[in-house]
Amino acid sequence: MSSVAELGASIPDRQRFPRLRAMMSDPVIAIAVLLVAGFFITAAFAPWIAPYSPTKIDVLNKLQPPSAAHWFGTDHLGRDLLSRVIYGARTALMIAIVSVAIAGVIGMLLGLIAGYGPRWLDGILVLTFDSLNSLPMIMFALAIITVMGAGTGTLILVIAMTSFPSYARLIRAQTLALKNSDYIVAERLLDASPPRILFVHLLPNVIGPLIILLSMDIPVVIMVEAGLSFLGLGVRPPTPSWGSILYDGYTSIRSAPYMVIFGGLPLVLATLGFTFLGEGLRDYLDPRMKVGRPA
Amino acid sequence: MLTYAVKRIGLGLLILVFVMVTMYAAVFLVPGDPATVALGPRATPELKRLLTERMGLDQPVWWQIIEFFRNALTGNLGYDVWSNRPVSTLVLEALPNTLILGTTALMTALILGVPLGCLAVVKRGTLADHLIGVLSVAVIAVPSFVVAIYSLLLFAVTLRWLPAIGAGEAGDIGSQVRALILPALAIALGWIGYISRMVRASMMEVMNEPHIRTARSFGLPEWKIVSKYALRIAIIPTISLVAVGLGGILSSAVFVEAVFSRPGIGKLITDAVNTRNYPVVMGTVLMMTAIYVSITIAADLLIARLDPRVRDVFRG
Amino acid sequence: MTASLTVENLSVRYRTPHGSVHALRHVNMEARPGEVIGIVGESGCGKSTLVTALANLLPANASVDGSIRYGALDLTGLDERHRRALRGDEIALVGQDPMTAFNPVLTIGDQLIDFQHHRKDIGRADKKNRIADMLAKVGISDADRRMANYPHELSGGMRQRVAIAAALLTDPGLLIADEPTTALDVTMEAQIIHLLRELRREYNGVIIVVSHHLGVIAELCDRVYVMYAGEVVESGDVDAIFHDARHPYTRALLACDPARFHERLERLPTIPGSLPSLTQLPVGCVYAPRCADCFEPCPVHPPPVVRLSADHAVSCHGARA
Repeated sequence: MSSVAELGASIPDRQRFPRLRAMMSDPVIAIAVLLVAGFFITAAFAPWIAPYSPTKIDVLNKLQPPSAAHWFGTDHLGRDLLSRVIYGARTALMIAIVSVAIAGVIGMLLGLIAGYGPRWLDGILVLTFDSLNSLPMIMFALAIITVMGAGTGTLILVIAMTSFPSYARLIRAQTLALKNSDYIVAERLLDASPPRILFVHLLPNVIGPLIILLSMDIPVVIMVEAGLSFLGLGVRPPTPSWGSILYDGYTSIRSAPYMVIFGGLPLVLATLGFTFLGEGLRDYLDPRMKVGRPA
Repeated sequence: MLTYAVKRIGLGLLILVFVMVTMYAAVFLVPGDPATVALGPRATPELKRLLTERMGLDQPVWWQIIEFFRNALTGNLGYDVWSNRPVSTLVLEALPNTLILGTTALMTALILGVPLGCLAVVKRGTLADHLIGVLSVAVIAVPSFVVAIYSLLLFAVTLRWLPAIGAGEAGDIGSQVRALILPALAIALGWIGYISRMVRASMMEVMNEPHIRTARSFGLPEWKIVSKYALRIAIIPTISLVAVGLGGILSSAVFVEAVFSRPGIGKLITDAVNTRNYPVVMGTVLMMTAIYVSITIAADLLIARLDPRVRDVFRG
Repeated sequence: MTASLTVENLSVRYRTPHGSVHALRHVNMEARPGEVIGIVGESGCGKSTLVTALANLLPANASVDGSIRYGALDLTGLDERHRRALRGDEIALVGQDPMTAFNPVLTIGDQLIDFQHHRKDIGRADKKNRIADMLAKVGISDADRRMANYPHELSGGMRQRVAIAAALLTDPGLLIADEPTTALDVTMEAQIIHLLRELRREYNGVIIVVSHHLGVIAELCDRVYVMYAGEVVESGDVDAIFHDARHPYTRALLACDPARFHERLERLPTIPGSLPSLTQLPVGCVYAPRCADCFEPCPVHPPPVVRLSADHAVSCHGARA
């Protein structure tokens, strides 16, 4: 049956584009794209979409159930819940993009250094990555928060610190694989400087899988932000965050259950959208990468 | 096998030391000392001096680190800043609740996830397979603390079937089990999806191996091929992934315990973080890291036992 | 049960995203109980597909035309349940690669017990005794220790003996050995051939040996089918094939067999060209593009089957003369 495989290989490559189209024709992925697009639009145009200010306190109208004036109702300080949910998307997206970008850059640099640098440095770095990776992340995160105090900056630092090792490992593995390929060896023989080899020749070839991994981590980061804010260890009030909305709703779950319902829904939809989109992209770009873990 | 075990345990200890040193280093990189952080800006200098002495902060850093490890080895993890109770006692009180929660969640996930993964393989390509696939990803994506809040709202607040808070009455198994159901399911849900996906993925790879063709050529029934011949191999990567993911169960437990006010490690540490109860945080982190690292080692050794090929590599 | 095997006009196509692959076309074959049939040809000639079809293990994307009759049964018309009932009972397969043929995490004994699952009449202990007897028969001593071993603890040759024992344990009427010696080194190969020769003396079902190795076929078989690009191009008595080959492909194949060189050659002979694409087959004879004796009708008309004797048939325009 080897002949069947050989035949497959000899057919000209005309399947890349149809694969993308096939991906979009999958209803699950199409819905995921809509969800993610909706999330981005909401975050970008929050001031225009939100009917009220997310931080305007109106104690006379506190804990109002959904109505024509307040579609999602109001919270314990009388703030419009819909507006807070809309601005919460902004907070979530901002933190996700900044922390993933920081972690991505750190991971990329350390990965390149480990993969291309001297043996002993590689050894030390790999030990560091492995140690960080084999920690229960939440414990590490909580320890950092205790030391630094809760807040957006700490949150970004915690997320970056806990996620860069896996990016660094990925880049290191890719760099090691490419380091001795003919064209890199040729560059070395032409006396190209290490930074030139790293950034002009290696980086463009190792960055693809990193971008997939980063995009697949965005929903995880959104979840971590919401979770820590729920515990009161993330974003500081009055900044609207889905996690703190959930916490406010949780404290009045008996009198105003709509708060946790509307506070949790966007979080669920956003993580679902990003996860399914990430899965689809992964299958399209690199079917052999691993699946995500529950958080 | 023995040298392998020794190596793994050595690496585990190294990781523990690394964590604690990093955390101490972090403390001293941050402006302000832990005593001020814990007491807040309005504390009297007298009170601050007292606490500084009690926490040993007047000693040099390296001495503090050595002190901490020396004490930790004798089971002394320091004292609660506020109640002055030993941290080890606090941890030992909270630990069973978390261990029971985590184990129940993991067992539930395995009991439901492994058969679902097998079912997807037996029915591969059919609607059932696709459905299991999509649902698995969906439950992986949903944050466990949102599941916890929603199930609290539905089953405890609205329907009143199960208790909303606590870990049940001491000595009353029935109430303890009832208090366990919702938190355990909230954690397990994502893991059911994760495990079923892992089992399906590694099983599909195994199903293409020649020995499966041999089993088929002897006419063994498909369910037996899947459940015995393929699963025994496919479960090996699944176990290591589950072990690596145990940290995930632990972090879910932190959030879920907060939702259900379950007096476990998660609640202990979040309360301690919120009150800046520094020694409790450090002690708990050390304990949990130790437990986590030893579970990971145990899983690696279990894999070495399950796979005779790995076993022989480390023999002698 | 012992019965004859008759393959008539068998065609197998695989549906792939790139079109149909005609892996097997109009194959005819006959085997009587007690006979050893050899199937020979280069890689990709359809041997594996034929074996897979005979063992009822074709994948879901294969479509089958024609018939495979075993006794009174037509194997092509069976549903999955009946196919499974035949596998490991009437039909047994010895795979190519003994290194990967057994499950690596189950003991040899455990697997051989499972493989006797059709024998509902005997218990575990009896199955173990049968295994011990059979292992002794294929030349493995200390059967008890071997049964407790995992596959990786056995050498390649030993594993192939176990594979043969496993097949024989099921008392098959049809035993298929797919490249039984390809993955072994030369001494092991000789031992396995010797073992198979011993076995055929007391075995009275049909044995089919598939190989690209002419020596193996010559040593073991009564009759030989030569395959090329999914077709049987020549078939006949082992003597006829080895001493009176009529198809240019068979002759070329024989000329390339290093075992048959009488003197040292400067260059090893090869057959120029390569197998035709199985999605776009030539109109006439499939071998015409590589054939040294190609003449006018060859590229245009499919060759006729010429019966040279009761047992010797060849598909070639050149054989008609």
